[in-house]
Amino acid sequence: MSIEIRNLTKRLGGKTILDRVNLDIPEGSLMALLGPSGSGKTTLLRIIAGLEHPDEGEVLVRGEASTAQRPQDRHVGFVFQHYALFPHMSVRQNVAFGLEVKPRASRPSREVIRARVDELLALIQMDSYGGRLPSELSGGQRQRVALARALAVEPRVLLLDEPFGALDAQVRAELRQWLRRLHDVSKVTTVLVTHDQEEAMEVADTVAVMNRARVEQVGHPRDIYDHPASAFVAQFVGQMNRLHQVEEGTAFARPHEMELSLDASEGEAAQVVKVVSVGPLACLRLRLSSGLELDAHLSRERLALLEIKEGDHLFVRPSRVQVFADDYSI
Amino acid sequence: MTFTRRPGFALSTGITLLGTSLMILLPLAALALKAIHAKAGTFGTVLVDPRVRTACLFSLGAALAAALFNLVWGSLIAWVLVRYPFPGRRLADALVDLPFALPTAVAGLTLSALYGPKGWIGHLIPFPVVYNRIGVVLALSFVSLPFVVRSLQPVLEELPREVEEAAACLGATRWATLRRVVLPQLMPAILSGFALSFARAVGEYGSVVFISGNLPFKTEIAPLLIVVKLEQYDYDGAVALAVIMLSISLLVLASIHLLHRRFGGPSRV
Repeated sequence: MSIEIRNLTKRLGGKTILDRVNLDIPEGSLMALLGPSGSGKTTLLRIIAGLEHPDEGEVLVRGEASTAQRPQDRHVGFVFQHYALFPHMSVRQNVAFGLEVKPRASRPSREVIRARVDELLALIQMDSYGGRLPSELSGGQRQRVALARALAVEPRVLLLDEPFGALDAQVRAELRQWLRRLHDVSKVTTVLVTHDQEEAMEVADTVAVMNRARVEQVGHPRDIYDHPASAFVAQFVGQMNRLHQVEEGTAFARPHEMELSLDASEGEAAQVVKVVSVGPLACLRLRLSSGLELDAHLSRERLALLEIKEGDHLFVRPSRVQVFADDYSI
Repeated sequence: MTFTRRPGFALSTGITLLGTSLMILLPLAALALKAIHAKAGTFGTVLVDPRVRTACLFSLGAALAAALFNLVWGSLIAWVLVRYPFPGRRLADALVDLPFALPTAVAGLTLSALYGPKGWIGHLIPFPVVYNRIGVVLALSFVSLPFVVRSLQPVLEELPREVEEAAACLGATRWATLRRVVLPQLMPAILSGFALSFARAVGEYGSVVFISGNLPFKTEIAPLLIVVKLEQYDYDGAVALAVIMLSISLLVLASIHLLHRRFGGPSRV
């Protein structure tokens, strides 16, 4: 286990930011901390880096208690949402910084540093940008430089705080894939904080969903999507229709698990309020006679087969219903 | 470069030029004109006068010393005011402007009373502070302190903490972060604070006359010598001295400006 988080609690001004959080992050894995803003995920990341201190509990890195260590001694690479590059230094100087500030005894020679910087610039595909200043780069380029800078010191752990949050959707998608490939090559234990479930699902080996200062569920992205542990996770990860109250709580169903039919024996009557068919899926908004509105996703072939238009009446039935206890809020 | 006329250009430039002319250029032009019409040889006489030379050098030296002192002291004050929340911070922040609000003569009198041989602070210091060159530097530091603090404060406030955190995570000690990351970013503001502080100190008169003792060849400053010359109806001499001081000050400010450009733009490799 590379990082073990034990009973971590952090309070700030009467508010509990982290509430007895436990989490194991395996060596060499890429874990996403997914949650809405204010769920405590960034604070957890900053505590792992030593930038903030917990009130209770501890963080073990490779079995070694690191809670009392300064950030300088933890060998973590930290990448910030807003890059935090040194604005007065060139790209090369930024990347070399961590090596150049090493104590004389362990500092590599000038040639070694230069070679290492060249290697990292090649890795982030910015060989020819070494002399540029951060202000002369695009957001995506800046974040790649920030990553190279963090990797230069060969950290034990790489911590990414919403690294793509400030970028355009297209650049974000590219960098996401690039990060995944980078991780496959470097195998550095990585923790990625994000509020974007798509990002977490696409990049991470394991996702930890956080809500209200606690970790609600840890698991493989697919398991979290298919078997959410709570109503919060069900609704935060992927879309979910809230159906009706049952004895044990509330019943939910995913939009792609809604079966549509023109046959009255197959479910409840509904009217089609809106049809959006862009891309491979058609997204339908349905209104039941009770006034409840539901989403249904189906392939465009199926849509064409059923000949559904806005305003049509049809019948809907969930193929799979999940029930969660009512103790939640978003 | 092509020049495109933006809306409001004529009016705003006109008002600016008028204001600058009336308040800055015209007096300076009058000084230059007066200097041109001065008796032949006045400049020579003034320049070789050892009393003048000593006063000019002392004025510049004391102003530089005060500005350097403020560089360190003012930076520290700005740092504490921005980085550490403490009770009474807003009051302390307001107090920084006090040297601007106080009539400088009052400042001079107060300082000489406080630091005089029988003063509250003066009697604790084993060497005399008032009526010598240390006193002059003290007074000049006091009146020009706010410049460094006020030029540094907004820049410090804007400095993202994440940049320092990034340096710490990369293994940089606090000292290395300060020296390699924080200071280079503050350098332009520090230098302009230094320049303003110096300019203010060179021209200071009111507080110095009360604390210096005004001894020729010892604690006499150039602005005082100008007043002395005026009192003796030596207008040409006063003008010559003013022009000399003005040129030296401009030279110093220009070199600070060059330094500013050197540090101001981020360095390139």
